[in-house]
Amino acid sequence: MKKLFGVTLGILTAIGGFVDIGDIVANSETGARFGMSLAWAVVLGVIGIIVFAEMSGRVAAVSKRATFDLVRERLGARTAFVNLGASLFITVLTLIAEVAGVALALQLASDVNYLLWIPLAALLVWLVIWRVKFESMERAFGLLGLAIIVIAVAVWQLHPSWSHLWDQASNPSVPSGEGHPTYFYYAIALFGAAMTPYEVFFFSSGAVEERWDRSDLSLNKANVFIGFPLGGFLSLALMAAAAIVFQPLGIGVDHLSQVGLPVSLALGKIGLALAIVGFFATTFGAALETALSSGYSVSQYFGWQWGKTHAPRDAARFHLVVLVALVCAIGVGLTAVDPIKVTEYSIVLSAAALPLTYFPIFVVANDPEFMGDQVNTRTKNAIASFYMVLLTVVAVATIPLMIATKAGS
Amino acid sequence: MHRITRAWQTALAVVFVVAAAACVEPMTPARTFDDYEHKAKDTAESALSSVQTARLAARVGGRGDAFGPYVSVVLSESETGTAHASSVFASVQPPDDHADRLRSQLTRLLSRAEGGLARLRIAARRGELDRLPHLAAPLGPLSRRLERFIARHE
Repeated sequence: MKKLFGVTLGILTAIGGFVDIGDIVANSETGARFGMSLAWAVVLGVIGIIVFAEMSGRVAAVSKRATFDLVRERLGARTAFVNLGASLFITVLTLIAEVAGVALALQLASDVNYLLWIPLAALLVWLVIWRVKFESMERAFGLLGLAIIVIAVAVWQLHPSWSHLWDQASNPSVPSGEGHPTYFYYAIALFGAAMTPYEVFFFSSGAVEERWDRSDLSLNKANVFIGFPLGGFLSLALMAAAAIVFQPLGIGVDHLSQVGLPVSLALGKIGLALAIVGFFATTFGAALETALSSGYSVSQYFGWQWGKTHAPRDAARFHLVVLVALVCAIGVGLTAVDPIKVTEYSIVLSAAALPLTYFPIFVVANDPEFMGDQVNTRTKNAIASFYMVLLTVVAVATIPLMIATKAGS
Repeated sequence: MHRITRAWQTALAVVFVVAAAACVEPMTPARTFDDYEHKAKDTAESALSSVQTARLAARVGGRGDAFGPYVSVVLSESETGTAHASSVFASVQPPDDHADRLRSQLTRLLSRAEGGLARLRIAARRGELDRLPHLAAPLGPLSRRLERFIARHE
């Protein structure tokens, strides 16, 4: 019974923790602009993160080693250092977006400018990392993030034409007035939003922090195979809400505030309050994960003591990296750079950088020296190889598409 | 190994440069009427998006389905969005007389949109949410005029 409770809680946490500012922005923007015609990119991204997270969770549980530890061993110190630089840049960029997302959610509740909330939001993130236990932190914000389910309820209450939505999703086409490069640029944005690298750093490092072993492989499977698809369902709900309300009116999503309008229309003040709580919890949870992921990746590469389970004085350099990443987030956030643009760039560049961490994990997941009898099966290898090719194509195509479409404008 | 590292370093440098360049959002000049017309259409689309967002916010605010601070934020951002699009368009040099006429047509529409959105924002900040649907009424015909403008210059 206790184990079942733990698994259920893990799944719920995975659902609530799946959505972040990148998912909220990318799915709402594309729903408003392309209807449901890019739903396939979300499905592709969710399957991708399932494959990636399952492999890295299994590797962490069996080898007791986290992602960057293995990246350095597999790629060598020099190449892994460049890999670390790229991954850290994208993780900190995502952290900037998440901290700004927390500030924007607080602005929606208070009408106080988000710039004033940024230092407070970052301070709160640091305090939670410093004081709250790993498991409590992960579960509290994952479960609170479930409030975002209100978006799916709003879609149902808006009484849409389900056949029209299904038709758009199942027969994808480029809407008139939009070019193929822009369509594929946004497909990459959705793919990157579903498959952000920090999710895997956090997932695998969290597994090591919680001392997973072979007996936790079923928990790993439940989180990944049930929690992530349900999280992906919430992403599709965000897309559908925008497709139903915004697309017919010619509204483009440029602000987080707009995402609450369909909920307000369908469910009134209670729905809106839950949506704002959901925005706050999902972005705050993701800010914790990205801040910790910055510390995890640097500390694992250099072989420093890392993790929340160690007292701060025993993992001082790990906590210093987390603090520096948060100070960067405050500094960049306070320049008044558009947080939605930062989010867009972070998810697109995430997609471009995915092979850097996917490849070493894929190699280790096939290494019997590390994995024993838990190496990838043939089916898993076939799917993982398909994604390796896909991620390489996406990585090569991202920058040219970004330039050709002026970042999707 | 050194070659691989150099390739990674180059790739990383490209990512940094592109990300930095993309964040700057440079204003490109319009050398022909077609180019100018394209920019005018994009500006009208941006204004239409802000006006329609504000109409929705006024609707939910007026019938008590949203909180005052939330409605105020949505309206304020709609106003800022239109003002930004308008100022960016105003800075583009019209290439010929034909473009001058197009500029004055769109500028009139943008000016009305900015005025209407400012009235909504002021009412919302004063907590007069019940007045929002009345104040938003003129934005209906304005959004139809923006739609016609966009369709003409598609």
